[in-house]
Amino acid sequence: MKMDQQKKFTIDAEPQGKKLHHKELNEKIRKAIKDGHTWITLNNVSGQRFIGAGIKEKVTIEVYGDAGLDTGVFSEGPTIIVHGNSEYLLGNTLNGGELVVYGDSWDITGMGARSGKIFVMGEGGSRIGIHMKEFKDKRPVIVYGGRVKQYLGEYMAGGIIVVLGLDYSNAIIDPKKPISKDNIDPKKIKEHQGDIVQSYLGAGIHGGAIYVRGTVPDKYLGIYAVKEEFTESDKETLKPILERYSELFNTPEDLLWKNGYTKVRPISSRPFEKVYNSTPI
Amino acid sequence: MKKSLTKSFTELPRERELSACGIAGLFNLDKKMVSGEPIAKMMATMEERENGLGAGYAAYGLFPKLKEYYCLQLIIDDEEAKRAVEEFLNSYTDIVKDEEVSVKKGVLKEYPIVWRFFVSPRDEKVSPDDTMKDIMMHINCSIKGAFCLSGGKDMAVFKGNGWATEIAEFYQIKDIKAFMWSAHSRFPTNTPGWWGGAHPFSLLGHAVVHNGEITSYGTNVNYLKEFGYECKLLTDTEVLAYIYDYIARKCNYPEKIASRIAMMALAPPYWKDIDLMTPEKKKWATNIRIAHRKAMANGPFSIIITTDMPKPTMIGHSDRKKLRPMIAALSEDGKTFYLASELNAIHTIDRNVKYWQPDPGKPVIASLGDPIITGTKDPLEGLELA
Repeated sequence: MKMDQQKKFTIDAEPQGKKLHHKELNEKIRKAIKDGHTWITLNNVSGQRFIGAGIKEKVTIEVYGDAGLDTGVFSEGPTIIVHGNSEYLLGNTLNGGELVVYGDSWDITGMGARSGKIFVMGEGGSRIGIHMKEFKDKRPVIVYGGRVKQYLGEYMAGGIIVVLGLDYSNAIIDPKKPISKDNIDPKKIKEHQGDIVQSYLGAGIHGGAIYVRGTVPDKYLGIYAVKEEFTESDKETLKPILERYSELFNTPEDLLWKNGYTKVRPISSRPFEKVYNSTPI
Repeated sequence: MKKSLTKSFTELPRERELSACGIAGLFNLDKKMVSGEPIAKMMATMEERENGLGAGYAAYGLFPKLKEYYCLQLIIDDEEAKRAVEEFLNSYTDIVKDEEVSVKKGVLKEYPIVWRFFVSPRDEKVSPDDTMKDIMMHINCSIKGAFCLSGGKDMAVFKGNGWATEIAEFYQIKDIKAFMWSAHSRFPTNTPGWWGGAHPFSLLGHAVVHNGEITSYGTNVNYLKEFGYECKLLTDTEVLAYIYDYIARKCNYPEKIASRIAMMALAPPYWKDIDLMTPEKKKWATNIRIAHRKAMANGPFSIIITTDMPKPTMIGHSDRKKLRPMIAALSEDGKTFYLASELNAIHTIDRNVKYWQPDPGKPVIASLGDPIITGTKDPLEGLELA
């Protein structure tokens, strides 16, 4: 839908200086959707949880401020754009749609996600993409523009995680304004020096793939995670994802492909087979 | 047919709020006194984390004129219990001063007497800290109708059963000035929500606020019993305070590394990670794991420990998988250090902070006059071990 055709609606999450509880805020969002609005802007958000929870409609929810934990939980249709940071559990059990964060997002992003796309410009915490899964054409994607911490893709069963290791701290044109595509200077995006992933990478992984820009030291690989050659077919897989990332965050595609990628995969489709006792009971 | 019901008796009640505890800390690294207003605001922002069953604040630097005396801050049911406490204190200490802690009427429906005693232990053969530890434990376990909230020097704990905003109002936190603050809002999971069970949980000059649960509680209790710590307060957080006290104060480790050892004992690195350390650090980590094996706190936790021993220090720590959140931040001028469960709590009072996320199982430490340990390198970050 074109921008001018959108039916817009604005909600103040802190009317008269009093912070709305997440229930009140989400009720307002749902009512706006029910009334036929397709573009909902939330101002002054300060950590309210469950923004856009379980929404199936293809609407856009724009968040100004710090979104609380469980942003986009169980949601299936909406595009949620956060101009600020998001607390942990972003896109918990995501079923579809697109979550975009112009900032950082901490631990357990995309936990158990089953479909949909999560794009974060900044840094991540630990256990990102834990228990993510895929089925047929439903393939969740998580992309982190910055660095992430330990246990990336733990117990991952499907989907794609991409870590880019880019540093946007000097690339924001006007730091006083909310970060958006137009507020990023592509020439000033830098690359993080040093490791962009940490230990226990893909620990217990049994499906899906993790792509890390540049190299990954072997000592960081978790149990049953192995490095695999990055092939043409991987390139094909990454292409649309990186194109979208480049568009969202005004980042040159050349930079995204620079240094190549390390692919991390499970050692086999059933790495824990031998751990379980197969005696029928 | 009878008249229609006002609620369903067959459907699951859906009004239940599921949440978690909220913790925050604020430390002025210049030792400048700041009002409790910002920390109370941080807690108010994280209101969605609590369910009104306990909250509290720890403040350091409260009694500059009486800072050589221990301040025992108590909640007391009645005059009789107060007399029992006084009598008990008189037999082991000199009471220098005692006063009622001012509380605001009309905030809580019912509340106990809040009283503080400034004391100096008499027994010269035992270290005063040990005497005070035993006194606090005796009051909490054996004097009916009295509970000791804190017993450190130049600090006090203000806590109770209620919402964080209520407790702040009740104790008029905004009128109190301190250079170091920690705070907690509670969502009790395994243990009852009561006045004594609220956090900060304090022993001597240490105060612990805790989000999570300690599943190794039983093992830790047995370990602590060997060294004279009684755990009878129906809250898993008490073991954290006692383990910290035992390892950081009682074990006589060199001051510089004592708190680091305590932190490593609580969340020891995996053997796989120890193997990757330099030979010196490997030796330390191995010995700490072995010596304090039963001090390991299992289960999800993120904690803030504030202490004045040997100097004012604020520590943020998490379990080895960081199953509970923690964000650290430093103000633009580098003078104020923050810790909180959620970044929005810090952003509420200061939008221009430099913030970072500590690694799982690695402590963030701000100690007066020392560079900040960020908790993003190795667990013995910044230590020159020889």
